[in-house]
Amino acid sequence: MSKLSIKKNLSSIQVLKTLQILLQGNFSMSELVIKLNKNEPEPVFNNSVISKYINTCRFCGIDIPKIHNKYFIASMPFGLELTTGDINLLENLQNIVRTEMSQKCNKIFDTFIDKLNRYSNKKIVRIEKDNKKVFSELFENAVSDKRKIRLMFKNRAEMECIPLKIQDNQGKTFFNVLYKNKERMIWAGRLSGMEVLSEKFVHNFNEPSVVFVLKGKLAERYTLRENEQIMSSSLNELTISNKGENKEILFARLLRYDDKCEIKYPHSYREEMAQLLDNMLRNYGEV
Amino acid sequence: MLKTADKTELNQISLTGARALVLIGLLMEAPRTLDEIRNIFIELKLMEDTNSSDILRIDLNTLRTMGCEISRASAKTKFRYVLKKHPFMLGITSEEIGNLKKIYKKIKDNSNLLLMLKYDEFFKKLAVYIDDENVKEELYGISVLKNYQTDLINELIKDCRQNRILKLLYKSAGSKDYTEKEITPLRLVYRNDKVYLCGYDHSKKESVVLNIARIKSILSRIAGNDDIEVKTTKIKFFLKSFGISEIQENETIVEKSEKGFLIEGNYYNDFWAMQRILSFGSDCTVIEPEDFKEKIIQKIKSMREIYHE
Repeated sequence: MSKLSIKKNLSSIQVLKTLQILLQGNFSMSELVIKLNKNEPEPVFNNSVISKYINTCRFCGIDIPKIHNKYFIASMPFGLELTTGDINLLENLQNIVRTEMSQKCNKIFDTFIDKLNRYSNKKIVRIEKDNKKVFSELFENAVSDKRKIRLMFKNRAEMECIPLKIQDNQGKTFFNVLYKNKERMIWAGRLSGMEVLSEKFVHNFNEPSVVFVLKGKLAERYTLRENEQIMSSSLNELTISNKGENKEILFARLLRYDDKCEIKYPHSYREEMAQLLDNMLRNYGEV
Repeated sequence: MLKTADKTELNQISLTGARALVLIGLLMEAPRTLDEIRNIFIELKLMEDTNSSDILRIDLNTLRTMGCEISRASAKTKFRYVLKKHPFMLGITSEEIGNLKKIYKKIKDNSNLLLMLKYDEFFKKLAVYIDDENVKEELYGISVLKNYQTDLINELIKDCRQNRILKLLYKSAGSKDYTEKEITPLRLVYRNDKVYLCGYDHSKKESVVLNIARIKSILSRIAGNDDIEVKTTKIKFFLKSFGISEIQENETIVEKSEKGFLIEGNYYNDFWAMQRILSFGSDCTVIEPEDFKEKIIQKIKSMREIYHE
């Protein structure tokens, strides 16, 4: 091996190490000194050396502001090049997460955006949360604390119910609740308020697996959902087990499959579908 | 990326460090030859014209020491150094991708094809900066268009705009072989995670809806005209409530009362109209046309028979 092939620049390595640490988070100078010296046989990083390396990064176009005594990478000239269109897509996602999703989802999304910000050439706008997000948080807290809730509607009606889970359908957020022993889907947009009550509920919410059969061409071309499994498959027939899909959403979907679909299990779902079909015929005076 | 260095600035920075950073930036952008790198460095005053290119080889070794995988400049790479991997990749986690998927799901269910194409492109772009192969796969997997040839979709969008007549190979559902079709594409529709081409079939002389995934290839494109009269299915129905659904762009509320809505829908074919009407369950009653109303009643009866056997 030639001498050249093993030669390297020590200060270059140290600049790159500084950049690597800054890409991991926001750090004060003393934190940077500790982190950077951690894997060195003897301390080589001190305040003035690190300042020089940060300046080197800045000289190369890496935006490293110091706010509240912490250094962080705000943007990089190389790395991920985001277009205005990309930023719009991220803002779309951000709008959804801010307005309709839980605190946990927001936190994970923020970490994701922070990473993109560090690696990209553009800054991503943040927006404030609004009511829907607050409702989602309250709802999730009520579910985990097993407390009843009171929903207040824009038309001034109120509903005291048991919160089950948050469901999405066609881009809209619904609160799935149990009201007078019946499951109801309440669209978040209809609500003006939500109150978590002190009264606790006891209920077993084990959702049944729904088994349905698809026939004919539909069986051949059906695309399984994430929450579905094939139980058996034969010529022109596919038996599927579906777990966790809201009944209202599932029924609307299975109805679309018309007579090429049959619910097999649970019996209550089967009966309910039969009842629903009777009601549909009743609309036309056919029952 | 960079301004030219002046002497005062160079005193406050590590020149070799700056070269390493610029070098990694240059290689992230594109593979480069030693001469290309050298010329850029000289232009930026990061090295002198008189300096040996060995400086650059040492810089490349430095990057390799830091964990960069840089190929040798050989005839195979057209004497360019190719950066295959580096330690400054985007450290996106599986949890973050899962979260992204949840948010995307809310958008995609109520979105249009153009937006889905943009997201597909964006996820592909982001994946380039992800090191972990599993996370990369998860990111690719988010897009509803993951199993589609997006180039074909983009071409078909252009074909629709330009009223072209296409000869294409298509495999109908249940059919084993591809057949040749002559179609004037009118519109691409994204529905239930699938992309459909709504158009006019010149041999059948009727409107058709083709699943894009079943198109094998476009055999030819010729200029067409825009005087094709497409027959659609017009349905008037009464809806007590939209429930979990919402109005589509091809539907108009004709009348609104305390009891519900009178809606007029215009669908590409009877099948889509039937699916839409059935999905509303007992909240919906078809008013007209009579023949479609009769079809719906017969369909519900045959569905009901399954449960009353």
